[in-house]
Amino acid sequence: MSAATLPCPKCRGAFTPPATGLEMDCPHCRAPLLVAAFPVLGRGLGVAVAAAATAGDEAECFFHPGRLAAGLCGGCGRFLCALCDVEFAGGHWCPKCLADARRQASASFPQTRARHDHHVWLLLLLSLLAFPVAVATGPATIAYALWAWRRPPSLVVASRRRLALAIPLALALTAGAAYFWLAIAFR
Amino acid sequence: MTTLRHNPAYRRLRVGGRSPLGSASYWLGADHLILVEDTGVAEKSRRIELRDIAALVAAPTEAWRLLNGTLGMTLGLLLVPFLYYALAPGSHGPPLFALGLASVIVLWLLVRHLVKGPTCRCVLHTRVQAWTLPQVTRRRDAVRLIAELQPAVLAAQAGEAAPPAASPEAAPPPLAA
Repeated sequence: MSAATLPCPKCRGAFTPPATGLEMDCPHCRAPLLVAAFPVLGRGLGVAVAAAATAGDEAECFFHPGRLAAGLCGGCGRFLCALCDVEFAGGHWCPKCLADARRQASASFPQTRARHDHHVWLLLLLSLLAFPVAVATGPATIAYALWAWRRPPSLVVASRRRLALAIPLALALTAGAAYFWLAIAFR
Repeated sequence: MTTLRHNPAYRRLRVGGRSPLGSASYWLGADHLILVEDTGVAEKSRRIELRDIAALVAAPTEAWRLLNGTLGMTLGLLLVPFLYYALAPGSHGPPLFALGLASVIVLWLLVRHLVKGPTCRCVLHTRVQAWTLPQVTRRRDAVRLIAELQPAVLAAQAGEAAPPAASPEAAPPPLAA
């Protein structure tokens, strides 16, 4: 059973993590690496199954009995024929392990939320910098803040509080800009 | 909705931070890690199960030497005219002030960079994917992250066999094509 390998972040060369300790030099580029390997690294190869294959008997595909096995699944160790063998991300997988891996990967897929509170405060800043235009951008800011209130908030920042703070400021800016234009109109 | 900051089930790890390109924070739950990246426009969150984490690898990057050189040279280029105006006869208030202020700023950036230590790129491997961790760009941050994650990951993976390691005499694996 071969040792599990990892790619060096610098040169992409494969190296075997140390059994103990954190520091090692990449055997290819000699870069000083920090490596923390955990028990699931390299998990999957079935040693007992491989031993039966080397006993001289022709191994059959687990999913298609009667078809000659062409390789082993890197996840569960089962024998696979050429039809079942899926090469993906540098490994060989059976359809079941690939489906499991994709399900796990989809659970790790990022979820994206727009930072509407940032956008509202940018609009507010624009209203302040271009003050006369605030008679239009102020109400737009308020409308956006009210619409964004029901959107998923940030996971780490109190975005709804920032939206709530932006609304009275936008109202004040709108009122100020309206007074500015009225003063000009009736001067 | 409670934020992660106010949720007692999560502990913020002492890594991550801000840069002009955005910010990132790491939150450790009972059996998973949540990574939150914020670009200012959108917030991207990723949940990683602790039992899926296979390895953390950090390698040095060239940014350390590049920034040392760039900031050092910039400081030198600012100090030379500053000293010239300082030592030249007559009053040279405005250029002296401008050069002095710029020198102080660059000096502060250089000292801050040196104190933070060597730069690195940290990659988290699971059985299926590998991610370059955002805002873990200093070796001391990588050491801190490993120190904080290792006990939790080992506890989550208790019962798994230790990863097989090569014997010291074994030749290194060939470079990937």
